[in-house]
Amino acid sequence: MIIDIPVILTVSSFLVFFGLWGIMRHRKDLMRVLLALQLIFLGSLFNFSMGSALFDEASGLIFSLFIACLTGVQMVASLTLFFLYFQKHDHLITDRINSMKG
Amino acid sequence: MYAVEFYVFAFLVLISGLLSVMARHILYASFCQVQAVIAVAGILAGLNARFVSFALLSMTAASILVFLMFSLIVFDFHQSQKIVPEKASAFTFVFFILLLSQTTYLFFKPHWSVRKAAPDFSLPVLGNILYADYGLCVVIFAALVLSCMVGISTLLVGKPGRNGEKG
Repeated sequence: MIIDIPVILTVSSFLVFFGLWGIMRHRKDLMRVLLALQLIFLGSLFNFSMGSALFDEASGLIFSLFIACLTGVQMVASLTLFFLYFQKHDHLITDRINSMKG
Repeated sequence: MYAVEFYVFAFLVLISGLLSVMARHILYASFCQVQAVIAVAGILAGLNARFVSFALLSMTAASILVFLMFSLIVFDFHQSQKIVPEKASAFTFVFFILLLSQTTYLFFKPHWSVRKAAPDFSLPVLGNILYADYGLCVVIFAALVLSCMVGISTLLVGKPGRNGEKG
């Protein structure tokens, strides 16, 4: 058994697909959307890392580090915005969000 | 890295990602997300990229902790669904056994590559590349993160609440 490019691409594309599916499935719940977005980031991180190992080039791992940091920043920023909205409107239901204007 | 190990961890990543989407309660979905990240960290450790693996694990631990705190305590509408059983289910038992076995395996198997030496992705190599070839990217990314944090702090400090009090 060898680790080939199609296997790596399949796993990472499935992860991205699961993330997109999660966004579509839980689109009324902003917290679940945030979790699904993390899955998409994980898929791209997996792709960069495995490509880096496959082609013996460490640049992919640098981008993986960037992606990991970006995921944390995205989580914090999104939670802050959700918190500000929740503080003002007492709900996070996307159907009732008509505008994001302060 | 053995191909079998890669396939096992990749299978765990996919199953955990699928369960993370399909789980009804956000607590279980977060647990599955943690499981997926640990499996990816296992693959990274098998590729001799232990620093990236550790960075990914620490970042995920912090962000999932904050996420759970917000979703279960601050935005408490998930608790009103009352889906979480009072007793720990078999799912939780399997989850912790899986995590324990993965961690034990990663801990007691420091040298993965036997047939073919894996590329050297140690911290000095990554540091050299990061600051020699991607210095501008690091500066831009740091400025982006800093401006994001300043913006968030400004929003949280200066935004009045519903009754006019500071948020």
